[in-house]
Amino acid sequence: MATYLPVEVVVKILSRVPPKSLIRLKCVSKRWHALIGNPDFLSKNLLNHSIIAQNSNEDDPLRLILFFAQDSDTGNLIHSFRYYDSLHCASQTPLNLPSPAPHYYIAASCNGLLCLWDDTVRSDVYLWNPATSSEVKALPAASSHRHTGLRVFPGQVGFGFDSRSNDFKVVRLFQVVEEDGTERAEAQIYSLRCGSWRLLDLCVPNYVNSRTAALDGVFLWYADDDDIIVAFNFTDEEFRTMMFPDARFFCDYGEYTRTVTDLKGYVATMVFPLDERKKYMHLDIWVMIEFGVRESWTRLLSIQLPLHLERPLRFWKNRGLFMENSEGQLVLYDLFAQTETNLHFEGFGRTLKVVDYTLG
Amino acid sequence: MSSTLCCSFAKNVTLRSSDGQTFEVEEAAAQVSQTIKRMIEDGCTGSVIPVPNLTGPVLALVIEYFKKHSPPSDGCPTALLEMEIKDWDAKFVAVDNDTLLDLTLAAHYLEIQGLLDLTCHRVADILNDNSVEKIREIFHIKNDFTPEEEAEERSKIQWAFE
Repeated sequence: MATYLPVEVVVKILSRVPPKSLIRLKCVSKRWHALIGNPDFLSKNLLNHSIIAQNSNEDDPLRLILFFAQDSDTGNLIHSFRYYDSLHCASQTPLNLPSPAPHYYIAASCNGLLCLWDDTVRSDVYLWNPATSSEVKALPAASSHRHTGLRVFPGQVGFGFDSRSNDFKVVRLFQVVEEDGTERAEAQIYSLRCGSWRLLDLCVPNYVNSRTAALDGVFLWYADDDDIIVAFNFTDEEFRTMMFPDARFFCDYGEYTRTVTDLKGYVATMVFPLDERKKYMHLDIWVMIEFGVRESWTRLLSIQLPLHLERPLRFWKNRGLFMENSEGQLVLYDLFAQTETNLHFEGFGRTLKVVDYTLG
Repeated sequence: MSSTLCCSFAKNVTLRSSDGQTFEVEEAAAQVSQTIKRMIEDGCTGSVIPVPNLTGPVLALVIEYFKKHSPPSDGCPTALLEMEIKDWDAKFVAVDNDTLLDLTLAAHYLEIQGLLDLTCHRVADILNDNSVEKIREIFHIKNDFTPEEEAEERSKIQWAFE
């Protein structure tokens, strides 16, 4: 084929090969290696295409996207359901949260259920089925008495579906402080079917933050102290940690920040610098092609964004990226045309969240 | 005979392969190819249209494809018909690897978007399912890496082979 298929046909074929196989094909010949392997436009496009142009159910009328923000005036959580395909408003279910909280977090959306939690002292966890009700259901509080230690603080929440036991599960991390001042993390898990919490007898990675992502049956947190990803598998009920790509690849940005996210079923990370004196914001998008394998991190895109687009939120279709601008407004940025569309949804700065939602 | 009768108003064109074989096909069907469509529009209908990149057996297959994919004379295709065509397509590209590559090339030269998508998809499946060694064999690709170079490349992406 290399000898007589024109290069545009070879590219067309290769762009349909799944990414892991595509990487393997670098070993076929030097020509293929150059085509797939080199960080030039064509190669990046090839890999991009094999990942972001996968067939998906984008025109599925049950597939929605949900925008959240905290209202700048009232502090209430505001939201908007949109059709995934068109981003037009879908019918709106109001959301009645029981009490105002300084901050609400959306853990994840999974099979029609949304999991939220607040940062009050009790730090309640809620489940919401927008298809059937405007009421959220508060889960029973996870008892801190299950933990030994001088003081116990409830922390981050993850949510997902265990397809083996056909059960929704919530995992909650706790920070436990011992009498001698040492700290460690512990976790409890809530099964929707059992309606109760239990302690997980596991070593739990410490200091995760609220930059999270959810994949099929797996919840991911970014642990910024150690600069690692912490993953929890709802079926095995196990934590594992995963490394980011070697920092040397992007140390030339100076100081940078990153998020963990998901892209077409892959673990992804978006890396962007903190330095605001630059004229543009730099954004790199990496994908971990083989789950848990550090060497498989591959840089998909390296782009420059206008400085007022401050926070990348989530990918949309095969070329869009939802961003929060410096006014706290939601903007859809076209990664290839480099154009932006204001979606007329805004909230208090840094509270925007975009979640995929499929009616269960 | 009935098909001849119902198509008696349709105009035909003659296509000639690289090895001199000629095939008569309905003009509407042949216009599934953008290349042939342009030639017809440029007034080539009166004479034989040469298709110099395709041998007779490949052109015969492509004409099969034309016939199946020519626009229906009675309006919109039904969902049932679309499903039937999809099944037919899958069988159509379930051919030996050399023929598949010939069809891919033919679809490229003749600008038959549907056939190109179909064959590229099938070739991509083959690439996904086979070892590097087997792929070189199927597609007649010479391995121009030295054993040392290949070993080094493989070690860099060991995870992709697991």
